[in-house]
Amino acid sequence: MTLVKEFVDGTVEIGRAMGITLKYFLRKPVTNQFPDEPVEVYPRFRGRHVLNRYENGLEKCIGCSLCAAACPTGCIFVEAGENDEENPVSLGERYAVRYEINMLRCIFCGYCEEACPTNAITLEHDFALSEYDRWDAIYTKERLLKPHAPDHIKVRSDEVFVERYGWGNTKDS
Amino acid sequence: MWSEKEQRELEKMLPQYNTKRSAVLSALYLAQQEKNWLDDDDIKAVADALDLTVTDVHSVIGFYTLFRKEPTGKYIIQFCTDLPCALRGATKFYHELAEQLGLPPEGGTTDDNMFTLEEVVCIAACNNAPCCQINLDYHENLTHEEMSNILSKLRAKSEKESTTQP
Amino acid sequence: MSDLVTLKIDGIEVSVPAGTMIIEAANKIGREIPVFCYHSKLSTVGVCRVCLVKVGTPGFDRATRQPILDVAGNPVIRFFPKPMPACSTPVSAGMEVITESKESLADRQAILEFLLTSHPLDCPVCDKGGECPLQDLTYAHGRGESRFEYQRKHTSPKKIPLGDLIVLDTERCIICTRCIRFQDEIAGDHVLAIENRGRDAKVVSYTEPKFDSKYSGNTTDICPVGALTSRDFRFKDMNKPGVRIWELTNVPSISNYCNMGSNLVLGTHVGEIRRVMPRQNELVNEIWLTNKTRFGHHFHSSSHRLTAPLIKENGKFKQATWEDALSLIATKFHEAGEHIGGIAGPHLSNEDLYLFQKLFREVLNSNNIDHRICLNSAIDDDLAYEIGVGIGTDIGQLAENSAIFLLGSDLDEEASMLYLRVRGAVRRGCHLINANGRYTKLDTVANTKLRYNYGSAVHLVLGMTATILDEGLEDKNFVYARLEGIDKLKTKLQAYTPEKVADITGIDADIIRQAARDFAKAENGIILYGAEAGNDTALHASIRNLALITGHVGKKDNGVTAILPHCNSRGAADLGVIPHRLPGYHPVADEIGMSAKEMLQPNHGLQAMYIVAADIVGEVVTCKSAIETTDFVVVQDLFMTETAKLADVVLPAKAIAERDGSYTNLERRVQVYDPAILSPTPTCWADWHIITAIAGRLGAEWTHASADGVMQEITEQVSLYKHMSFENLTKPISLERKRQHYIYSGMSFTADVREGVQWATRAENQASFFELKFIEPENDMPQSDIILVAPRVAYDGGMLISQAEILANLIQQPKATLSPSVAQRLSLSKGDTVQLTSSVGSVALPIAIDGKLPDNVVLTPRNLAGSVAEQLLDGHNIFIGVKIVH
Repeated sequence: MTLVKEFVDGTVEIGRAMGITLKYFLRKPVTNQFPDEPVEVYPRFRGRHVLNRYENGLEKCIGCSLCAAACPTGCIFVEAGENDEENPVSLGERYAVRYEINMLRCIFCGYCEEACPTNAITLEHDFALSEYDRWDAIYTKERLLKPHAPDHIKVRSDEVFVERYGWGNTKDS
Repeated sequence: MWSEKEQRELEKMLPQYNTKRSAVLSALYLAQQEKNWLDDDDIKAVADALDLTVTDVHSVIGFYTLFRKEPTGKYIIQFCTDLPCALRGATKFYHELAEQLGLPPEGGTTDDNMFTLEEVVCIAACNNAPCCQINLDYHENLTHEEMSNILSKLRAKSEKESTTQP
Repeated sequence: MSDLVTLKIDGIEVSVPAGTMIIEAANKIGREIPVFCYHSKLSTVGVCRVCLVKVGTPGFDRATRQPILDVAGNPVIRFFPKPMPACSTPVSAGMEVITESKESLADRQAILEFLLTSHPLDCPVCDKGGECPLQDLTYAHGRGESRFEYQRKHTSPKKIPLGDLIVLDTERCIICTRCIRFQDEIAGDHVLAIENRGRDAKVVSYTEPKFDSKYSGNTTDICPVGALTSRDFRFKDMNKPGVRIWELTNVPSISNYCNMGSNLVLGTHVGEIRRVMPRQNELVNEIWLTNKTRFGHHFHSSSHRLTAPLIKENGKFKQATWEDALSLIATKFHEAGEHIGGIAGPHLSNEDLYLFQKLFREVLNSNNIDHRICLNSAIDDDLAYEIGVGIGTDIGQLAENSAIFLLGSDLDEEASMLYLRVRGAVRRGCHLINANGRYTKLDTVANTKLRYNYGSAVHLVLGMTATILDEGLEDKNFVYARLEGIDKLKTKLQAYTPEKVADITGIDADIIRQAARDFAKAENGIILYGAEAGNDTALHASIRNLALITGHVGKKDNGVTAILPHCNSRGAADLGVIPHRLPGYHPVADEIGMSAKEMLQPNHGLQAMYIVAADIVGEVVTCKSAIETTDFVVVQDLFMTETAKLADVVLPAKAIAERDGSYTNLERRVQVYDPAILSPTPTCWADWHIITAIAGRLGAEWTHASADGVMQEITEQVSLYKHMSFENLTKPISLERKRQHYIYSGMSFTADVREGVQWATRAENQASFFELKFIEPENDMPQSDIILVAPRVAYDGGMLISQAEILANLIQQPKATLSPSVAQRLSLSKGDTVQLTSSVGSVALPIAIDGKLPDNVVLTPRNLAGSVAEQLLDGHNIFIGVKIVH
């Protein structure tokens, strides 16, 4: 008796389980074929840092070190120099000679972005930051200044975001 | 540097003050008399005579607008264009005067180094505007004829001086 | 003390002396009123108007002249219709002050808004950002947004160099005139001024060279905005990237250039010293630093530093291990036996010096040690041990009823920090008697100027002493209780009445008399004597007598002190680095050793020499042969100095900021410094460490593992130093004292204060007894028409300071300064070269002309590169007769 019962019960369970499998088999998958397909992130996603430039090519960073001061993990290192008036690197008298971020230490809190008086540093959307060498995780100024828009990242439009959750609208109510 | 006459005057002047420092205005005035402005040598001479540093003397010169560190004409015309004067047509008068002297609107010194025109703010003679101060003399209720008169008189005076003095 | 006035500030009653300004009264109860132009060390001008407060006084009935009372019987306070500046409104009885009334807050907001109309908002790139009073006050009281649009001053010029050291950004300046007042009042160099008026007003310096002052760096500290910045810290100017102040690690230290032991803070970043800021110590340097201290730190990071032990083989240095070097030294020292001599520089810390003498006395059994190279020998050690200055002496606070007798020293050059303090004392009403053979900068403020003939300083002192005894001005109680031999002295001094010394000194008898009276009658009296007074025992005895008979000994604000040349000259004498004394001024039990003077004679008979932190050849070039003839020379230093080049073994030491230790300043104050950075390589050792290692190789069983530990031993062995343990020395001052120290707003430096500890002289013991000694002065007046005088100067040719590129232009080049009449007589003009010939040598020097110099004097600084003056002076005299030939 028990043998038969066990057989029937087992069959039903397997059938149920297969049902779930079949159900999800037919649905659109939630996983993403990364990196073959791009990943969608929200516009405010805080990923890899980028140093920005003005349209005329001058660096926005003035080497004030406020980002380094705001950084809770101390992963930013700035050394400032004085601009050559003929051939300036940034607006004003000061510019960053060295600008380094240790990505292994960074917790992507965005305080640097908040502290920056010139919007020079912003946290963009790249999250795929693994390196083969630990030293490569220290991002230099040259790397940070390069425009960085990798193919594997797609930013969701703000509208979708606002529509779905009803918040995050940039306009003051 | 001091001429002999100036040196004598300076020596006469110094004992009249409690401290040497106090004589700085009179000494600067004396030093400026000859050519209407002070060059670095004059300033150094005043500083040395009064035991001051050059910086101190520069500071005094900078404070008083009647001391000058740039070459000027023989006669300095300080023309007021502040509000009350402007209401009585001083601005227009000033610009016409500048044109008459062949100077740009912001003033300057004439080519013959005779006149320096300057726009100033209030010389405390608003009731008699348009008015101006030429060196230390006031000229009020000016008309263009009067102004031309004054200028030619000054020119004549200057010429006379230069001919009498070898 | 003047009468106390009681007033109420924010409802709290406070009593202050009449004449106090509201701001100081408020400070007393801990109310901070914001300020820009006010500074407690400077005079008040009241130009910034940010300290406006609401002030009321009790109302008086005009008819009855009685105070108006309210129903409760309290006086009715009538507030002034307009706010009053707290910095320049004196307190009055019954006054009531509201520091944060609605009106005052609105005023502050408006003032800040006005200030910011002409001040750029470039805080992110400004070097003052983070420690800027304007920034702080704007955060506290500002409006947040400005209603003004015009930015007229934003275009004013930036980065105007004011001299080599200071940079002015006119657009940031708020014309508070703190810098100008500092220069005029504290430093006495009138080299800054405001030019023009209104919006065009700006700070200028027309003096040549611009902003010529040894103290100019202090203006950057007291500048309440970022208008004045030092080129050293300003980014990139010294080829170094900029650092923000919050990134600095601040370590307390002591100046190694200053014989007062100026307290300072080393701001370090990534293992490098980036700036030096003053550390407040009201007893030493107040809140000031000399430029030499502030900008002279670059030797730490110099690329010329020694990094490993070097052993000379066949005339060439080869890098060696410590192991090899120490073994070689031990063998050679052992071989030399008693034919060994040691010279330790007075820049070493107390710990090094103590172990140095211990090594010689206990391990090598030799008394041949000294720290006195050239001018050091002018200083008598007994005076400091016996009398010194009283414990707690605060020259910066001396005021009326006190007198300073300054004899033979140009403080501005020789003890710059003391110059500031003496000048401050004179401003407060202290009577300054400045006796010297030539014009010195303190003559501008001195109450009595005595100009003696070189060589006759002792006669001047004797003349003053004779006057005091003659007129009965001596401190009779003191003489009765603690002195012996006054009658004998009186008889001896009959030959030295002012009339009799007037001739030889060249000073009028009445003036000598008056100076003597001024000094004797003052409640507190301090004698400062320097090298230009001479160096004979007669002089020191006469100074001692003068201090003793006037009773100016053994108490606060009284005493005698020599102007010692180096930062730890005092400590070297205290701790027995001297052939005839053990630590603590005990005479040596056995034979007196050789002095530096003897050791540096060519036929000294020594086989080995151990020279620590002393560039002997650099200072006295004539000593070269003495070192060359020594078989084995060990030099321990930071750099490959001229002396080190002659050595057989060169050992790399740690610089001051790389280790801890202590210095004793000329007022006998022992102060510690902390390690701030790492040495360039781990093979640099601290001096005490090296000495311990050598002692270990020679068989001694020393167990010192830290400077702290060495000091512990000193406290046990040397009774004078019994309170000098590091634990004691690093103690912060009491809260009460800290309150007294408190400097109002506008400080960009830490005030975490240790005051150091002074050791007690014999005079401090009220039961001690003194015998008056009289030594007949030898007539050693130079027999020549022209006398060469060789004082020390601040910007010398030393190895350490020459590493500071920023000071390169200030370092003096050897020259002979003449009076105009001498120049005329020899038909010399600026740029000419003269040949100076003395009995010992002859050198050629370019000349300079100084109208303030006496006609019989030619001046040549002695501590300059090439040590030219030493060649004429044989390294030991102060002045000498010379012949000048064109």
